[in-house]
Amino acid sequence: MIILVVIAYSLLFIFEFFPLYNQKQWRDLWLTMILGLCSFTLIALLSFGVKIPSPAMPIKNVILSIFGK
Amino acid sequence: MRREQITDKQAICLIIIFYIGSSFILGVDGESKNDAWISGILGMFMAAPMLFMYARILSLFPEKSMFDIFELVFGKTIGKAFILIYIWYSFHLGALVIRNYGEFINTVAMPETPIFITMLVLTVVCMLAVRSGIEVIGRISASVLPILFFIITTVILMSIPKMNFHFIKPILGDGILPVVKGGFSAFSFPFAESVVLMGGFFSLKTKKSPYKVYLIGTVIAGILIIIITLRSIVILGETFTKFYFPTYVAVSMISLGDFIQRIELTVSVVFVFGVFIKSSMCLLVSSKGIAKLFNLQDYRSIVIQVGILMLYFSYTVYDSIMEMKGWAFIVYPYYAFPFQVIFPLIIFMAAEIKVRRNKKGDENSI
Amino acid sequence: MKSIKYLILSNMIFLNMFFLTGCWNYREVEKLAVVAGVAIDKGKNNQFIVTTEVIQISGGRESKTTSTYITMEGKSIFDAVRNQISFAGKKLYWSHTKVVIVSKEIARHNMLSVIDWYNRDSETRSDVNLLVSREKTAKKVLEQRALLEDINSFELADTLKNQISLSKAPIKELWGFINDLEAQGIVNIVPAVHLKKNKNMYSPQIMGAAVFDNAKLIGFLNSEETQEVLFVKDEVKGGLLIDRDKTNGLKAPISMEIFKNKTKIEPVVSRNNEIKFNIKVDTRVDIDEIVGNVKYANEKVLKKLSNNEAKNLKNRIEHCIKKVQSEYGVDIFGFGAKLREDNPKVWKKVASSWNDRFKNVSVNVSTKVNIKGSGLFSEPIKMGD
Repeated sequence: MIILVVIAYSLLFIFEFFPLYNQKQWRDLWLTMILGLCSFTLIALLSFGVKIPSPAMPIKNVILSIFGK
Repeated sequence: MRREQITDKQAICLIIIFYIGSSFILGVDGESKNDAWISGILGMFMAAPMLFMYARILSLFPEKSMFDIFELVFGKTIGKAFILIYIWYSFHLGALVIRNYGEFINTVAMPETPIFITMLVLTVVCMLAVRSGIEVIGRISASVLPILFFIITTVILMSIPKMNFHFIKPILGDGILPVVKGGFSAFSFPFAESVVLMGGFFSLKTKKSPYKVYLIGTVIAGILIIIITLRSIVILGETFTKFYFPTYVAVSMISLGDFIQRIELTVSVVFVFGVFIKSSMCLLVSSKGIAKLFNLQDYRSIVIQVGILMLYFSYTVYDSIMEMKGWAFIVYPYYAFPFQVIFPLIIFMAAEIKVRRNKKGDENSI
Repeated sequence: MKSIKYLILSNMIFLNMFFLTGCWNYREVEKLAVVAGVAIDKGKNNQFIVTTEVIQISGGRESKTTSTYITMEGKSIFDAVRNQISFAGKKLYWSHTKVVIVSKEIARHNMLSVIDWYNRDSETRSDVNLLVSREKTAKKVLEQRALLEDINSFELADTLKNQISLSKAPIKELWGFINDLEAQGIVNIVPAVHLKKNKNMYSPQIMGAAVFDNAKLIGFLNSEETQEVLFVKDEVKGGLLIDRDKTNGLKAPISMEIFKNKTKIEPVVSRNNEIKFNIKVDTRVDIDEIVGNVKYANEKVLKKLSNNEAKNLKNRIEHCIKKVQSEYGVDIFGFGAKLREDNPKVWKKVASSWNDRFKNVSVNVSTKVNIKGSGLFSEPIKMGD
């Protein structure tokens, strides 16, 4: 699983980051790198079976506590 | 860079598909039972002033998207806060829509396929579409909508023999309250969701077109949704609220002369196109917002990463389909209310004041 | 660089044709065990016995479809169904199933345990026909050889479909059963099936109806009563009216074929909350069998005939309603549902006590029989001494 993820991300790296690097769009490159890092950590956690907390439940609790139902 | 532009017709098609995207299959609401169609009408009328407001904001600042307007109206810091809010909303909405799609395919067609794969396939297509820009999305909608219309009308015609019109009665049997509640739910899902489109309709041609697009699009889509709801009611009766996907079940009842049957896949076709357009628009708007937030020249470079994040988010957002249905109909209307009504209202008022003042300033300077 | 990119892309597209066709796994047609019908019985220790009729298609020049039966028990319906894998080796394929036959015992106990799985599962289709077996077990009904078709379940489904020109059994699809179960003011009737000897072998015959109180079977109606119930429910689309009246001076009964029927139920609520139902039956018939010298070309005679028949029908319907009220005491006609549709306010008051009220609700039946034709003959056959 993790191997697949790494392969997919390295492909993304080649097709995404190099063009940006060549065009010298540093801002875009940095932002993409940061977002990519976030998504990579997420998928790595997911593939190791870590349960990522969903915001659905807290939002639900907040709304139910306000409107009560 | 050339300004992207879509014609009014394309925009109307886009907004129609956007509306029928997920509400076509999830149904309008569960609370008012066989009066759901009245809730649909009610929701449409409740949404009308909001939609006028959105259109007004857009037409005050032609050729600007929602995010540009925020900065113009509120200045840098508060504008950035508003941008952040709407990035979150469109991001979340896109994730929910992708999840709806995944659950639908998983429940109905391919129970053994992991939900992640079905959603991944959709997201990849969305990313491609968004990278190609709003013009392409507009053209896709304009060319796809006639097919969808054809499918919807033929399926409705074919389902006539299975209809039991006495299921509509009693009208308002449980009183008006559930219907109003249902109307509120229909207001927030799907009609007022078009607030997201404010981020995408920077590309309309004239000042008048936002009105035209919002009005015609909403009326056509509203009528479609109401007809579809009525169809589900007259075929399934009150049990239709029990199903996760009432339209699908209603169409699966059709059997004409033993050889036209099992045509429920046509519903999936409509649904898949709808979801594709809807989640593409959400993706487009949220990546545009992020690009604006960090002052990027173009949003295209971050589309893939945002799309992937959206996919992961939609994967983790619910545990089960039960949670999804509960969320969509009970929590969502309240959750979406600030995004759909309160914040636009603030923006609207601020924008009006700003524009008036500017005009005065211009006059004084002359 | 560009050519390499194109090469990689085209390779990926080619590979996607195999890997991303949308399905995780596949099933081949010849690996499927297509289920034509199911029979559900009660076993020992609260177990369920599920018998499925599975279609076998033998290839070759003269391809022939036959069927075989698999019987398996389990703790729940789904358990029994899945247990069949241990037996047949194939996973059953449900979307061509036509009938579900439920045994008396199970129906008496609780229908819900049977229909819930069938309606919920996404591989089954909820538009199958529901039948209640009057025989000891449902399995026995399913396992008979069909008369004309190769596969018994398909013949049962055909029989039900052609009921419209017989009107002696209701038609109930599974989702309709649930619809009526949930609806207020109406209970289900489900077609009943039994075995009848024909040419020294037994074949299933669908006649009459099973009456349910919520999800429990409480009795059966015979074919005549079923027709009367169908008249009230406005589900008659064909069938015969037979005038056995001897007072006409006829030696043999007159048969009339029903071409069209329209029944209207009107709930009337009087001022002191007395609920009454007006039932208006309007039937269009043709004379199809008549013996004796009846000059039906004459208007007066025709009128007399139709009035006579109308009175007959009225008596039958009234009698049937009385019987159902006194014997079963459940609202199989859907009077309550009708009241709810037309007058939800009144219904809210009586809803909780509807079953008791139904037992002595008064009904006003008016019938009308319009004779529109007499087949190909314009005059009766006369005997020339």
